[in-house]
Amino acid sequence: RAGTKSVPVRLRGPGPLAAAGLKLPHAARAAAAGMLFYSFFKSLVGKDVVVELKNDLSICGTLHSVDQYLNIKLTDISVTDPEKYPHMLSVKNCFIRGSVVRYVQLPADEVDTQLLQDAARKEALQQKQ
Amino acid sequence: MAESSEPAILEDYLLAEDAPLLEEMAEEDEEIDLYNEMTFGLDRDSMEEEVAKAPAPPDKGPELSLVGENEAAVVAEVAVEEEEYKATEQPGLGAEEEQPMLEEMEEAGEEGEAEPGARHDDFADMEEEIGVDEREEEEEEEEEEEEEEEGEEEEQHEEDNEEQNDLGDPAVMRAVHSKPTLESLDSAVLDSRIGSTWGEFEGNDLMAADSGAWTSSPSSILSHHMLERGYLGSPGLKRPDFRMMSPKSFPQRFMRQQSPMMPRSMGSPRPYTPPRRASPLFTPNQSSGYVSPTPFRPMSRNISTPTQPLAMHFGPMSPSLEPPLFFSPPAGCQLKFSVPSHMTQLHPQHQRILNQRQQRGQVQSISPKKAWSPKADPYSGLMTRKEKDWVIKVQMMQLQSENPHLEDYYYQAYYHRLERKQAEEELLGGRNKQEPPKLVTPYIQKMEIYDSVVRIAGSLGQVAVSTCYSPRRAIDAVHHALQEEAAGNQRLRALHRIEKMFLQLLEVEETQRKMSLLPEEQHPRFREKKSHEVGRIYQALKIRACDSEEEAEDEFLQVLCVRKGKKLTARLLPHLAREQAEEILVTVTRHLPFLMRKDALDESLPVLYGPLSEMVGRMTFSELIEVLQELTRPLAGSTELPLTMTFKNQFGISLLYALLSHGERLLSSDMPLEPHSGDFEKWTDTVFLVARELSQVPKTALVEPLFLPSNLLSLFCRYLDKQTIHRLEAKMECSPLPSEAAMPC
Repeated sequence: RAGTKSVPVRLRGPGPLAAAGLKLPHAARAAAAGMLFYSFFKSLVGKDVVVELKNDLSICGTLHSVDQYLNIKLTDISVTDPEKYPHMLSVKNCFIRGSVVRYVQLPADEVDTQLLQDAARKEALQQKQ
Repeated sequence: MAESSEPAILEDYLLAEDAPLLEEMAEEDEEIDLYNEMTFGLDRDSMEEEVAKAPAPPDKGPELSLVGENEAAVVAEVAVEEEEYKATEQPGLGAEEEQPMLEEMEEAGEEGEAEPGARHDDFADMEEEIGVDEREEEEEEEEEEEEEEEGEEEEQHEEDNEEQNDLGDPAVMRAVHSKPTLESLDSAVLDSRIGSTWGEFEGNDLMAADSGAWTSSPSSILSHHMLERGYLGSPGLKRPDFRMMSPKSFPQRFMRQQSPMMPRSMGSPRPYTPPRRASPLFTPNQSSGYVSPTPFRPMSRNISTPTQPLAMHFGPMSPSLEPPLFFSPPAGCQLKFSVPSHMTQLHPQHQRILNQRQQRGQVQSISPKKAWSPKADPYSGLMTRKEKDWVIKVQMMQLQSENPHLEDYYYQAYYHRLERKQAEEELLGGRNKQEPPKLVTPYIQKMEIYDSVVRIAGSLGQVAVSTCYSPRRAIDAVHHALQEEAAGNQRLRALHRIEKMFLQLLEVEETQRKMSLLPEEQHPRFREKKSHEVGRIYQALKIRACDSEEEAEDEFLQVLCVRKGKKLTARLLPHLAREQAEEILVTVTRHLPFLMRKDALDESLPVLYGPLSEMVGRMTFSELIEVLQELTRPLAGSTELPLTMTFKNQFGISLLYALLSHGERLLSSDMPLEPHSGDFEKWTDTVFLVARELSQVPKTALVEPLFLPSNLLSLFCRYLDKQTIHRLEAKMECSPLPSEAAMPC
C-alpha cells in the first residue's frame, strides 16, 4: 500500500488569511474548539486505515486527507468484503462523508495515546473556559 | 444524406437527448409533454396513419445502398430517423414524422412497460393487417442508423460474419425467418433490442419486399451489426428473446467478437459528424443544449466509431447516452441490459437516472482492474480552479485559530516529536531526511475580541453589547466546580483529584516547553513559575507518613492505586525537586506490599519503574540504606519481609535489583560514600538477607524483572561463597561473570 508521501503536502489551499483581515464570527470561532479529532486524523494522513460505515460497508485504504468535519478521502481502496459489494471493485479513490462513519480502524503504533489523552484534557479545559 | 428540414426539426428535438444530462433537464418539460401526448393521446388511427406512411419511403431504399445491406431496404421504410449517432445520412428516415414522434415519446417516455408492451401487442396484431410494425420500423430505423454508421465497418466485419456463420449457430439462420413472437415484442425482452431488430426484419412485409436483396447471410450481418451495436461481451444480458439466436450463444459470440471488433472499429474511425446538432434549425431553447455536445465532438472523433453502434442501439435513449458513450468504450455495453429498449417509454427523469447509471456503469466496467480510464469524465471541470479554491478558503476560515498549538495540539506535538526523531535518526544513521508531510492549518495572529458585557459605572445591572462576533451573553452563568468530595466513592474522588492534578501537570509541561523555546535570560522566570506549579501539585498529592493501617485512607496511596495516578506520578517525578522525589520513593517503598496487592489486576506499577530507577541512580548511600530498610522491615503482624513479597511482583523485584545495583555501583566506585554510622552493616545485612531469600525462593516463584542489572553477581561475590553464587546465578538467570578467577570469593 502506499506509504507516506515524501513531499510536504498542504492540506488545504490559500495562503495566510490574516492578510485578508478576515474576522471570524463567533460561531465559527467556537467551531475551532472541537479540533481534536481533526488534529488526530491529520497525523494519520498517509497511513492505512479501515473505515467502517454505518451501512456496514468496510473500506480499507490509505488516508489521503481529512477535514474539520472528519470527511475522509481514501486512496487505493479495497473493500474488505468484495463479494458483498461488487460495485466497489473498480473504485480506486473515494470520499466519505464524516457523518456516515461508524468506526475508523487505525494502526496502533501510529497513535500516541498519552498525547491523545493530553490533547483531550486540554480541549476539555478549553471548552470549560 | 442531407437532412431534410422536417426530419431536421425532429432531429433537433431528438438531438436534445444527446445533450448532456444537464441539458436534458431543460428539455424535460417538452419531453414530458410529448410523452404524455404519446402515451395518452395516440391512438390506433394515428398509428394506422403512420403505418400508411410506412410503405411510402421504400423508394429511398437505393439511398441506403451505402449501407450495403438488405436492411437498407428495410430501413428505408423507416420514416423516422432515430437521429442520434447518425454518422451517415439517414435516407428518408425522416419521412415519417409521426414515427419520430412516437420514438421520441419513447425516449422521453416513462416506465410504461405495460403500455409499450400493449402497444407492441397492438402492433403485433396490426402487423398482420398492416404488415408494418411501427415499433419495428423504429427499431429498424435505429438499426439502420447504426448500420449506416457501421457501413464501413460492416465490410470489414463481413469476414467475421462469415466466421460466425461457420461457427455457426444454426439458430441464427433459422431465426431470421421466423415470425416475430409476442415475446420478442415485449418491451422487457426488447431491452436488448436484438430481438426487436430481428423481428423487424422478419415480420415486415416491407422487408419481405426486399427480401430478395438479402444476402446469403443476413443473419450474420445482422448479428454483426448487433455486435457493433455494442452487445459486446454481455454475458449477463437477459436476452431470452434472441429469436434468431440462442441467448447463450449470442453473448458468447459477442464476447468472441468483442476484441477483434473494437480495434477494427477504431481502425476505421469515421469522423464523427453530428452536423445535425449544429444545424441552424435548432430551436432557441434547445440551442443551449447543443452547445455542450459540441465539445464532445472532437473527442468523439477518435472514439466515436466503436461507440456509435452503442449509441445507435439505444435508440430513444441513445441521445442521452451519447456523450457518456463517447467516453466509454463499448465494454460498457455490458450494462445495456439494464436499459430498456426504445420500446419502453420512460419518464424523462427515469431516463436520466438510467443514463446516469449507465454512465457510471460504463466507466466502471471499463476499469475492472482499477486501471483508471483515461477517457474524459463528463463531470470533470464543473468547477474552475478558482471556484474550488474559494470553497476551500471558506472551509479553512473555520479552521483559523489564534493558538494553533493549543487547538491543533495533537498534530503539532506529534509532528514535533516526529521531526525530533527523524533528526536523531539522521544524525545516527546518516539517512536522508525524509520530510514528513506537514499539514498546515492556517492560523491568524490576533483575533478581535468583543466584550459582550459592558458594565457602565453607576448603572443598574449590565448593559449587554451584542455583535455578530460575540453574541449577547444572556446570563452570567459561571461554572462552579462541583464538590465531588462528598460523592462518597473513594475511587471517584481520587480520579477527580488526579484529573485536576493532570491539568496542572500539563501546564507545567507547557511552561517547560515555552522555556525551552525562549532565550536563556528568561529561563529563571519560567523555572520559578514551574517550580511553583510543581510545588502546588506536590501539595495536592498529600504525601505524608502513614501507618500500615491507614494505608487505605491515605490519599496519596489512593492516587497511586489508580493507574492514572501512577502515570501522573511517573510524569511528575522528573519535574520534582530532589527531596520531593525522594519522599515519593520512600513512600512507595514503604507501602510496596500494599501497592503491589492493589496492582494485582492492573499491573501498571511498571510505569513507575523508569522514573524511580532514575531517582535511585542519584541517591546517596545513606539514602539508599534508608530505603532498603523499608524493605527489610518485617510487616506488622507477620514475619514476612516485604523483600520476599517483591519477588513475586515484577515491579517489586525490579526496584529491589535497582537499589542493590546502585549500592554496588556506589561501593565499587571510588567516590567517597560518606556513610552514616552503621550504614555498612546494614548494607551487608541487607545483601545477605536478599541472597538468603533468593536462594530459598523456588525459581518458578521468581518473576523476571523489567531490567536485570549486570553488577548484581559481583555484588554477591563480595560477600558470599561460590556455591551460593552459582545457585543465585542460576536462579536469577544472570549472565555468568567473565572470569571466576577475578572474583574475590
